[in-house]
Amino acid sequence: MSARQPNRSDTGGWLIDRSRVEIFTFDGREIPFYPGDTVASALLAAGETLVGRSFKLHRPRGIFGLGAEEPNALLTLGAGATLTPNARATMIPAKPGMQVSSQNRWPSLKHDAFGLLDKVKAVLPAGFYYKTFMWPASRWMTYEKYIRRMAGLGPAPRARDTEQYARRNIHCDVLIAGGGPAGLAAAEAAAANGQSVILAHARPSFGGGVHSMPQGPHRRWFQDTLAGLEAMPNVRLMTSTTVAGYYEHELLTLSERVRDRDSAAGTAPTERFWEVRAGRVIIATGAIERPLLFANNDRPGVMLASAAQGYLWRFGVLAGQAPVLFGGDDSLYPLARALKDAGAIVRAVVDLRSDPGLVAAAYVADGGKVIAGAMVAKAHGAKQVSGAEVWRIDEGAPHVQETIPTDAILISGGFGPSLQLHAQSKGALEWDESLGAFVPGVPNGANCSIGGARGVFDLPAAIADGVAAGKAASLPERDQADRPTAPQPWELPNPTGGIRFVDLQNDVADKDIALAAREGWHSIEHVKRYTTLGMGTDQGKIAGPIGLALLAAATGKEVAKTGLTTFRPPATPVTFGAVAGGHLGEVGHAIRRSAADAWHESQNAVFIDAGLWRRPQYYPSNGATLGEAYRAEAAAVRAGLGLVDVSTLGKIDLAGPDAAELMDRLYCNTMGTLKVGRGRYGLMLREDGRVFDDGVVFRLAEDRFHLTCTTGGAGAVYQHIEHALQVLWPDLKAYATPVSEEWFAAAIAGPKARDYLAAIAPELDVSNEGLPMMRLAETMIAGVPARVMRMSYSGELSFEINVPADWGGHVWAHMISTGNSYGLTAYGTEAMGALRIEKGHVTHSEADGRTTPDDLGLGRMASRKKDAIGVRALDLPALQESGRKQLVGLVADDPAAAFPQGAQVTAEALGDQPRPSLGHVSSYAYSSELKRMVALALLKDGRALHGQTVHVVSLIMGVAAAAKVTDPVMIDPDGERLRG
Amino acid sequence: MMLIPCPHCGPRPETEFVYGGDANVKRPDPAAPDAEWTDYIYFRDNPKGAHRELWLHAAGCHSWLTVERDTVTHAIGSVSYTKDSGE
Ligand SMILES: [Zn+2]
Repeated sequence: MSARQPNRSDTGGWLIDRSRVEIFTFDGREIPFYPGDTVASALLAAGETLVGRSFKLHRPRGIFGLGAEEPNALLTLGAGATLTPNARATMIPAKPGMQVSSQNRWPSLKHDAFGLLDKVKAVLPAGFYYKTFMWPASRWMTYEKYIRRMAGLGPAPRARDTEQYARRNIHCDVLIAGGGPAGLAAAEAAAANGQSVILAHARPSFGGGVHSMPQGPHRRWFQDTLAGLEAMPNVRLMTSTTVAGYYEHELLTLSERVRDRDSAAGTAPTERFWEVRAGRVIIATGAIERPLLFANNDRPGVMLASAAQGYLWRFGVLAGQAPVLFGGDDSLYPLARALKDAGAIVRAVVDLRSDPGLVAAAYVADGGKVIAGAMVAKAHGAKQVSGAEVWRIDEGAPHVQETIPTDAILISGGFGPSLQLHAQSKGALEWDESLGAFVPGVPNGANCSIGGARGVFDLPAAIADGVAAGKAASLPERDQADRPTAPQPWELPNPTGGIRFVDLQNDVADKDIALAAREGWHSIEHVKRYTTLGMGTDQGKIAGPIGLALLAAATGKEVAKTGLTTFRPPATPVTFGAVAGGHLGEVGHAIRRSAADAWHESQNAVFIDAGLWRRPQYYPSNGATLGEAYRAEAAAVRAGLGLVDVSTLGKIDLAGPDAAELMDRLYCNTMGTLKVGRGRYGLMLREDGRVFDDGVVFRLAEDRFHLTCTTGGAGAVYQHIEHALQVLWPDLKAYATPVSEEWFAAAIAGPKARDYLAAIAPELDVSNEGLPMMRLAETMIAGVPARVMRMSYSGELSFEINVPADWGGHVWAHMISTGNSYGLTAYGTEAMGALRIEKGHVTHSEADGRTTPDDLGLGRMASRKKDAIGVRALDLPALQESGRKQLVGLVADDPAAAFPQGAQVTAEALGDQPRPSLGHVSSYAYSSELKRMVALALLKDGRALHGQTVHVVSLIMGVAAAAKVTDPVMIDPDGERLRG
Repeated sequence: MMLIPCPHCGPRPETEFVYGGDANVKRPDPAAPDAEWTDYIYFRDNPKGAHRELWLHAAGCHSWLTVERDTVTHAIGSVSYTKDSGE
């Protein structure tokens, strides 16, 4: 014991190295610690009992637990780019030089301005946020700022995280969650059977409850067992590793905090995120002690008895100099003796049982003070417990016995299994009346719970559980010993009427739950959301069961029938960085590049994502801004010659004796009659009659077709074809092969396209007669075999050139270098979009999953002479009704008018009155031809509106523009230009 | 995450597959009445428990599979190539 560590005892300390004192800072103050301490044990040793302010009421709070269940001691680690908020002091190993700060206080922890809120708890009842801030809506903005300042935990880091994270995948025969006695025994037994074993333990060192006990034979067993496991090649021992999630078929996620364990880790990541596929899972995550309800049970100095026991034996730290112990079972007495031996003055044991039995009698015989049939009804003191007000509850009406001066009230409401992983795996839960707790029932999947995690708290019995589970044998019968029963935590009276907290982290009191029940919330899931019970970062590990029992009492139901809230991963918080691993920034997802990508990049093209592809949106060399560039590029196509990379379009090769039959069933229009070497535009429908995808199809041979589809639809179209072949018509003999990546594709378009093609493909007859519309020819371009397809998306004379992808860069470069004398201009997707909008060609903006062929003006394409996917649905009454939205063109009246993004279309200009929407703009662009904005729109009965004036409006953008409704084909309606 | 035993590729994680819905529905004859087609297009059973479903092994062999799956426990029963179901 020293002046700087007033609560450090010479007793205990299994996990610390007393040979060396290190220092970290807490709110700028130096805190001495021994290697092996957690931040919490060091703070307790230093007498720092006040560590935070509560979330809603800003009440002073101290360290309450020992492990992941800790609701109060949430601290901020570090600053700047490495800042981590809401770190559990109980789980963070103390490190030299570490910078630790308290949270949720302003201006300081001891003098918190919002602490006044506590005085007005009456205005912050359950459902406070819902009720108070819902009206009037216009005030929400005002309230929000205030709420965010008031109700926050730690600050979010503002700088980009500079830590390194990693992800790993691994398989094993047996995954064991929890390296306490039961888990260790299980690992040893499983490994001895030759199974590959992963043993994951949340703490930096194995042992669990073994370290919360005095010297004894179990320590030797622990050391021998661990040494044996370390020597086995089929065992992977993982410390500082939390099993956070349990998903279907034994997939588990683990968070390994590498830096917590190895301070000088060199190039190792801060944290590793593991996905483990296990043959079977053994859950040995122990049990959690429950608190007891009494007035001011949240004061610093109130602590779980098992936590106090842990602090003593693990770290040699006293939870208080003069504690009062309060609970209802025999475990209090050995703890009282141990604390006394370690130098504390144990003021009294307050035992809920009126006849506590032999263990208590022996304690009294040795000079200890026991108040039986009594409870601590209220804690005195504000920033630190100063007294325990004890009431007798065993005879007649509750009455005051005495107020005992004390600095710590150590409470035990019995233990409940830690159910997180069992419940996540969707295992059943059973209510155990003798424990007063839910225990794991029938598991779902290959797992079992052992030791404390199934309600077996006795050390030899827990080890026996582990041995049986490791061997995959059935577990021993659980011991149901008769004990003098005490009232359950939720059955205690509240004679002083003070505030009793159920959920310390979220400031939920028992009366909040009662209020929620009175207001009609009877489902625990609703009460959780209404009161915020169990919604904190501790996931209600402590609060959940008691809140549930209180709700059951308030609604007159059995606890077993009320059920628990759904357990969702992660069981304890996992940092976003660990989940993302290395998948950040540019390597966050794969990028597909066309064969000409290097050239696009050399031109400083601005890229846009199209599926996984990146495509040039525009080339800044054609204009400084997006708007300038695409207008110039589109104008160049209409006036002369443009070149665009269309490699990203989906391409599928369909071959086989039944290929033609399959084509007729896949497309709503007729395909089987197509002649070899010719092409046709086709529409695929979904079975519900909506347009699914479109593209040009060429027949390469009697039994072979080349399909093109949209860039974004390529994957889905291939799946759709396989569905037709394997599910709908497995008797059809045909094969589909995706060949998108096999081909590099570029389109040349513009009045000079034919002259230019003649120059680069000298062997080809490029005349109207030699290569008519929708014909395919094979030739050589730049020394490479090429397919040339005469087709047009832009509305100009146009050819699409396909060459094997490996030659794409070469051919593109050849085309660029030979195009100079033709004024060849490379253009991007934005100009391509403007050109197709002018021509009324649809994309997925128009074929948006709601439109039929007729809606898009393509109704006549759907042939009724054959069975094709989606055609039958077109005759269903709902698709025949009037009032459907139909595709139209819109041309702005005013050349200076802008069309806004996401615009609606109304019949009349907006005034003070809201106007009904006729429909919406699906695509818009500036028409270099018409010198004004044009758009495609889907308007109710739109084809009947041709020639009328409508208004393109966006309330969000504050823009409205008058426009004429036209046919979707806004330029060259007769297709003169296609002939060239 | 489920592990689906593909008859061609072996047990593979669910993320390699695309869900294809109820395997019990049968595409009606084009001449069937509107009601039958409406039923086929829009209505699906949503059983709690045993179910037969279509899954496409999209990131694998590209087989459409008929998978017996329990929608409560996610236990997987038989898995077969849909094209071989031959009814
Ligand atoms: Zn497969």
